[in-house]
Amino acid sequence: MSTIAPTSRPEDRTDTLATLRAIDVDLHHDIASWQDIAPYAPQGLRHRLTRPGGPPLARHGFKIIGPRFGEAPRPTDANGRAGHPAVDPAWVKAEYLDRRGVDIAILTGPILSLGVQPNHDMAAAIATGVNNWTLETWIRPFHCFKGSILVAHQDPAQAAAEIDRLGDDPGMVQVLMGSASETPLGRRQFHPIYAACVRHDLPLALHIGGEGAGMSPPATAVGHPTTHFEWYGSLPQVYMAHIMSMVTEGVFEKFSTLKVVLYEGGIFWLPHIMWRFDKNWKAQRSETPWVNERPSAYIRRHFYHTTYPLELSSQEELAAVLEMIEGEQTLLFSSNYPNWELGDPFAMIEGLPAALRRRVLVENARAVYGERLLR
Amino acid sequence: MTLVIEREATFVDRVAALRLVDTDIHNDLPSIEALRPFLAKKWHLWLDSGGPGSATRYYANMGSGRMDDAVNEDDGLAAGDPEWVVQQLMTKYRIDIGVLTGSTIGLGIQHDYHIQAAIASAYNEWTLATWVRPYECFKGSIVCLGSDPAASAAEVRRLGQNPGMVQVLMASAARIPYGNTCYWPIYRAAVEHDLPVAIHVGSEGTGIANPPTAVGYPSTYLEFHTDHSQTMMAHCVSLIADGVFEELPTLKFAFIEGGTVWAPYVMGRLDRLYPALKAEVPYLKMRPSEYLLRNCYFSTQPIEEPDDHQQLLQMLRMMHAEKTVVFASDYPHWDFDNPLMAFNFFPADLKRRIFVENAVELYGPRLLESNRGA
Repeated sequence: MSTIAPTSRPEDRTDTLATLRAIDVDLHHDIASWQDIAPYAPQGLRHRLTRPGGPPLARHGFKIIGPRFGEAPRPTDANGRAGHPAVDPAWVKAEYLDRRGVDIAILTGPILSLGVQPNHDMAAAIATGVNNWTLETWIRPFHCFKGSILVAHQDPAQAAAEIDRLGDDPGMVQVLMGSASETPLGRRQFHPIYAACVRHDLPLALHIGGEGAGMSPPATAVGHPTTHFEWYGSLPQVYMAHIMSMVTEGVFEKFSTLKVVLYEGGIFWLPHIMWRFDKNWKAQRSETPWVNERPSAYIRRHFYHTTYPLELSSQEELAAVLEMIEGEQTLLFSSNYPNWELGDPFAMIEGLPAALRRRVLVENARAVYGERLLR
Repeated sequence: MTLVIEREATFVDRVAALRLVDTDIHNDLPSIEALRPFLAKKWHLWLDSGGPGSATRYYANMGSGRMDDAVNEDDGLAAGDPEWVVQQLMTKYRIDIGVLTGSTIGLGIQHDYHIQAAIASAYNEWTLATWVRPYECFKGSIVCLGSDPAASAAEVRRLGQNPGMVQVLMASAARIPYGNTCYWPIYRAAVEHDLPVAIHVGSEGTGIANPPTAVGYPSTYLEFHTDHSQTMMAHCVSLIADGVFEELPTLKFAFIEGGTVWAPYVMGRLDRLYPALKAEVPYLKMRPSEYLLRNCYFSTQPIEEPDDHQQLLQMLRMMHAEKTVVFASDYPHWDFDNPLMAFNFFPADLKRRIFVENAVELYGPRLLESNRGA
């Protein structure tokens, strides 16, 4: 397996917390051609990446009907046609980051279903190829981009090895897994992944997207949804199930410094699950004697949430929910660039009071990702 | 004309006199043998074998699952005797009308829907004979199987005019979300007879049901029970997104024992998505939250318990609880909410809506009809 030695940058960073204007924790950079990824993947599986259409990947078939990129900027190709808005790092920097005042963007890529692909080795090879390619083509040449170590969690040993391989690279700021999963993520088989996260002081990011694909159970607790609208509307339930599992199985007793960032899940369901969980724990806690604190205490301390897409609500309702979940500390700005079909990501946080907006745009991300962001 | 006004006034007076309506009382079936008089002869061989095999779940409560003081030491049953329930629940907690949800909600997740549909019919007759006809304070649920919509629709039509039956009841555990058109025959029958449809948690992950979460099986009862509300949310999203409430605008749908204050998430997320994604669901005519507020009801138990009571009220306001929430005790189960204690911090008008008026709107005038003709 190829490894990439961290290289130093041409010049040191000059920005500080005070000068930062915005940190975007969710930029979906995309793959123009799998031919580009293949050289960065383990040699034995490169031929599977270069087959026509890319590597075999199970898909769920839910699809946005309508304009996918909303008002996101679009490049124009030589023939005057609109191109993909997230395949060229220099263009993305100039047309999105610089224009919108974003200083740092964390790359989350286009592959969010690796953890439910049936072939563990294939999934791990894709993760390695994408990670190396991201580092070489997006992160090393640009200060403004930071990476996520993509892992395929159905093989925890390989996932942990990938984290160890790249965990101290200054360009990587978190570990990224699709939230779609055969089993809830609190289960002990996944703990080596969390141990590796903690070993390298990396937050764990979970991102929806593979639900219902491959080895995933149906995308809801009562079977397959009918439409993308229903599928996407239901996806926060996956985070609820993972939260229940990780708290109940004692993940945060074992890994007390682990932080988990939940992408694209919204926040309005959190009061319900915190209060329901606490109430049940009072009566049933003898079943899980290792869960020493009220579940809501772990949820408040260990989980972080992102802004795209926040539930549609009044400003008063949003303020009330943020107070209930201590969102002042736990909410992070995410643009979901270039997938702006639901609207402009900055408009979604316009209603926040200025001090809180500053926390969401900059300070909370700094607290989650630490010094690595500015390295 | 005078007569009409008099009758309406009487109805209003009777509603005004109500103190509390309980939408979730689990009366217990003493044994499957009790159904023999109500079961066609061709099925009696099943009873001779002790009844059909039953898929049961692994997840077990740390206690018995019932309140200790709800168990009658003479027969070991909790809520097995209507007189017991009248004294221990209705009188003690000042409940005027109780809707029976029984102990057979999960029939629809058993494999053999032929025998289970027969059992559901017999069970409904048993409920009428032993609980509803002898007692004006109890109302029954028409227990149905999501797994056999044709048989369920027929059962709804068979009992749909019975004044003792106030709703259709199915398990929230399912293989296919409840918005799917395969279930619409049940809903059409319910609408024809002015009956709401209720779903109730508990059988998740058992028998033919989907795993209890969208990421598989939890490990513990604590996790399993807390996860239950996700099945409710999934059904709620499905019912709205598949257009059930557009097709059947008068259908009322009640979510029992799945919590309440997740509804603002469903409303807020679907309303966020709808303007951008409506090309995919062109049959919808209103914002998703409008369907939820018009057609859905949520029962209180187990009511969420934040440290700061005001936060619960804030969430309830977001979902217009004054129109959408009804009281449930879940008697005799372990997480019973005491109506004399749990709602004392609620504003009086909201409490009145939840305790009485919303239930009257959910079930309609039948809730107050006599059971004599049941």
